[in-house]
Amino acid sequence: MHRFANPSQFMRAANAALPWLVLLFVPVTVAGLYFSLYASPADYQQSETVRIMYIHVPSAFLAQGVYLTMALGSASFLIWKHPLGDLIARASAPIGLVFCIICLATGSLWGKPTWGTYWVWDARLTSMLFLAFLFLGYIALANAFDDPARGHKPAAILAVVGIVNIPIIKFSVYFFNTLHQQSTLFDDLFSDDRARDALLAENQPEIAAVAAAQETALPPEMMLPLLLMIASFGLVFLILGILRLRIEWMTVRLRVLRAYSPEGRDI
Amino acid sequence: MFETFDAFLGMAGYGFFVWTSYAICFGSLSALCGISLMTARQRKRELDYLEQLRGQRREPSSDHGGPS
Repeated sequence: MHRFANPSQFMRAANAALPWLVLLFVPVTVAGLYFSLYASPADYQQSETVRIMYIHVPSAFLAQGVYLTMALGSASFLIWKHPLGDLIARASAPIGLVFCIICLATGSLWGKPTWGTYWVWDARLTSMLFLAFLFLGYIALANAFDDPARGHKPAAILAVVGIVNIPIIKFSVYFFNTLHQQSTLFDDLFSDDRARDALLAENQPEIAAVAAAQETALPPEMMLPLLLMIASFGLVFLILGILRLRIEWMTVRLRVLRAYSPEGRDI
Repeated sequence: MFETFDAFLGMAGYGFFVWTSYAICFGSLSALCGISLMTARQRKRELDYLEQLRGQRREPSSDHGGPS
């Protein structure tokens, strides 16, 4: 693993992986869209709006995943002075911001027909909005200084400190009385559907038995497109991440070359 | 499954919400991709130019004979 800690080794590996990632991205996305938009059932209560879930949930997961990447990269930069960590963080930030915006916008469009409102200040929505501000803040801070190198540290500190928002997003739906639903993928320990389950068991024992046997909150016909779209978004992050990492890498190299060449400073 | 293409577009009356969501997703990711590709191309051009300048400055010294 330490071989890839060397920035140029890492860049070479990343550049080599890129065409394969694009090759994988195409069929995964085509299949994901096919199942999301066409070959999956409408929801009993939410009708066709449930198809928004296949974009909303992956973008939410990935927005948080990208933030974690950004925070880990920043932490390795702050603790071990590893330059690659900072480059990865800077490369990821705009991607995370876009995922966050997609999540908020699609959530809003899903909320209107299902909850009757485009927005509500509940815990999960508010903490996701805050995540968007954290991404914006990171980008602004990293670019705020005349000497670009000076922006690295404050931005990295912001990224690391902001990581507390991730568990808040994750657990907000359990701690607070929220409008947003609880678990999509797992019927886990924290899920507070016990009251509903008890009622179901009392009145419709056959359905309750099926629900109890289910490990997940979603039936397989809906789980498949969801997993495909999560994979698709993940590949988008990797592909755009490598592309943006190249940009950051070249930017650093440009700065070095300009510092040492008098002609270059005119560019 | 949808019976007609119009039904597919209509999404049981929720067409606006569903299609706008997919459009925002596709549009914003395409924009990010386009901007990133353009920026990468620009940086590559600048980098090639500066490295070529460095290469040109090095050449005169190789005329002095001996290892370059």
